[in-house]
Amino acid sequence: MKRILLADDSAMARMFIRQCLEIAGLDDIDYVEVENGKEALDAIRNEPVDLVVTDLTMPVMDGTDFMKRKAASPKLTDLPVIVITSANNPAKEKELISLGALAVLKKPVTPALICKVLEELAQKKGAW
Amino acid sequence: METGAIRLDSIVNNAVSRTLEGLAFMDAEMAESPGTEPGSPAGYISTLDVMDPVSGKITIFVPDGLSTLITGNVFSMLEGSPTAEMVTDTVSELLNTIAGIIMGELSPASRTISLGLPETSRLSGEGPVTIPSAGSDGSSRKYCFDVHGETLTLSISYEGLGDVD
Repeated sequence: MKRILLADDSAMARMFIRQCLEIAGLDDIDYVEVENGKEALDAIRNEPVDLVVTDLTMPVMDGTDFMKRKAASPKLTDLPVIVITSANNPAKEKELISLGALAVLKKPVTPALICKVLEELAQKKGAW
Repeated sequence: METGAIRLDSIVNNAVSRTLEGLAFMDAEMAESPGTEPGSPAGYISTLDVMDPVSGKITIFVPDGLSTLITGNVFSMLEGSPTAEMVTDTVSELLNTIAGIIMGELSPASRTISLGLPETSRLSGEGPVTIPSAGSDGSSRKYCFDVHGETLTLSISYEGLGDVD
């Protein structure tokens, strides 16, 4: 069973993204939900996950800081991350891609967008 | 060529419509701002700061009934009513999403956007709803949207938004 970490301070946003992932075809997934970047880092250091989906604007540690710390850790560098955020624009997207984000999607996200990103992930990492 | 104010109107209209349609499968239609509101309905007010690339504040007010309806749609609730916590969370996320779309359209592509966390609370309707109205210097604007027969209000106040033109 694959494990996906969802990081967003909004329970509603996490629920919505989970629904989009399920509609996009991901079933039989173990979801780990956290509310900020620090909890996300702690979670992925303690137990392996197959994919991280994270927001940017979060308390305690935001998504950009999470991405920087993940990029600085050799064990976590290859972990795929999809960023789903309201605060996206070309400059931010460029920064996040340079930090290793697989994709940066703007809220409100749709199952179709998620599907497209998962197909790209599958091409890189193998079937989901 | 559109004036700055008209362009901002269009951006705000698009942001609110896209967000409500995308999250709650609801339509929003920009309405004329009511002149004098006889009473203040109870509802949820949410505000966030815009830090970059301009300094500003975006606020929405969503009356109780509409807040509950939107939340029920988002959570696909067929029975029961959402809790106050769920409604607060939903209104916060609505504002977060709307603000991101607005700032994404207004900001230069070369500058990153920085938004604060929404602060959301419920107003009981016993006093006036403090939502900034459009100032004569154009530094703030207020919008009303008809959503399912109720009014969602948004205000945006800013400094240094010369790029709107």
